[in-house]
Amino acid sequence: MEHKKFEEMLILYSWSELKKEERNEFERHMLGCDSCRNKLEELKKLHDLVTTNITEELDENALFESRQELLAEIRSLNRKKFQFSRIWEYLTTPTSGSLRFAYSLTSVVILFAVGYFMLFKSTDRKGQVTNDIAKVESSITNLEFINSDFEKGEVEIVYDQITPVKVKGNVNDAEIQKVLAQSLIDNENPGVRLKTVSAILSEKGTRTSNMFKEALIKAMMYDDNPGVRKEAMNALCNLQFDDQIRDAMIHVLQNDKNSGLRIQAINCLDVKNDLQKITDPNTINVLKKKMEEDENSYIKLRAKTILTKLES
Amino acid sequence: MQDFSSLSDNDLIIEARNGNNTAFSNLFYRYDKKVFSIAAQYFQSSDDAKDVYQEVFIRVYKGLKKFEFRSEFSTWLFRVTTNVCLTHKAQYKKFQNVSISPDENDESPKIELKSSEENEPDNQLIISETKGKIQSAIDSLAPKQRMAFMLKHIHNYKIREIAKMMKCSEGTVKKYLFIATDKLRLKLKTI
Repeated sequence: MEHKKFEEMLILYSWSELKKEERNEFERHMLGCDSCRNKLEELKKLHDLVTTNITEELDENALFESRQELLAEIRSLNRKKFQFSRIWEYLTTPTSGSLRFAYSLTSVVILFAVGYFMLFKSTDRKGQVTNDIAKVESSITNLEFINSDFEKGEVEIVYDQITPVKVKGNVNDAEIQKVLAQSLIDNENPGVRLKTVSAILSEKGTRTSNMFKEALIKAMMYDDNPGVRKEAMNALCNLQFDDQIRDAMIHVLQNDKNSGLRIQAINCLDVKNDLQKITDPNTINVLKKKMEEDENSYIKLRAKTILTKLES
Repeated sequence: MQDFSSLSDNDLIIEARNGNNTAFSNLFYRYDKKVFSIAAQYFQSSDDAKDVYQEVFIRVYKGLKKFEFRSEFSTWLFRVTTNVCLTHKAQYKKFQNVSISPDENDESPKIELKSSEENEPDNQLIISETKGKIQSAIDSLAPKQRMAFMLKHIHNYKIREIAKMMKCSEGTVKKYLFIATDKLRLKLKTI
């Protein structure tokens, strides 16, 4: 009976699941028990056999595709949700005379109350931004550009956020940046996402904001539309090259199925000519792998050229 | 949009609940590798893992409004993951009681395995045969036993963590693990 207890403890011991006192008790028992020592050895062998033969290796390409598919699915869900809310709004709009009057009266009272509240609360509103969008970055849908002059960095956009919102301002404005950065990730229309990249490129500040950089990186890595990924990469190639951009380019080089984008990524790594920044072991390993295994011969050649440059 | 990396899971959930998809994507980037890895190991197929991945995150996305912050987000997420794995119908590989005798073991495992000795042809053959036997032995376990075994031995979770993920008691997890270990010990004795 006593020995049976230790047999159960034996398995837990091999998984490091015993409490300290139990562990000590079991170790004392094992000193005098050949059977337990042998079984423990057997369990360790089994564990080693399984872990050395079935490693936890991740299929990065499949993960990459899954992320793209998920983002597309979420966009589609949002679109459906928005369409549903429009239909709901239409259905709940009163049509009979008396109801319409009651609704109108209630609406006027509510609007008056909201207007009154906003007038006295929004004393610190910013320049040309015509709406308070500091908090509206969430649930932005149907964003569209109207009368925008990207050359001058001027954008005028309309979007839906419960009610339609129209905003005019400069792309350097933090609030405009919030809306644009989110639109690049979330907007369901690839045409709008492309325009958003153009708008971001018109930023005239001394340095592109981190907000834009991160949005561009995400778009380049995970957007389901290759055109958007390409434009985001173009934009990133023109930014000051840093480790974050390097890692993102390496990610594309490793995972993107579109060979045109992989070529653009490796060109960006090379053209930047800042070889100091691509000497980390991960980049070298990826380049070596690309030199040997990429299905595109140009990428193989380019990887080899960069590696030769790095060696010399 | 803000610096989401500094936000806690709960803060990201609140943002995501308000419709901020960027917050949601930041939330899932924190854990999606693990979700994918659990599914890929369980099914030994990237295609099935992709299906599970979509199912898990769409369920989580839709269920986010009902999340009550009583447990960690990761606990909930991995619970959904194990649940989806256990109920998902594998498209590319059927898990049934598979014989591990060499002549019946035609189905080679789809998992990518690496070893330093793989370059030598003879060794490669032996390694591949060994891996096939181990995989078949694991495939022959009942789904919950296999899930518990993989979470313990491949992903190194503690029994209490596995119990939360599989929504059962620690005693039940121990039972799954004991049975799985015994079965594998017998089946792999000859290796």
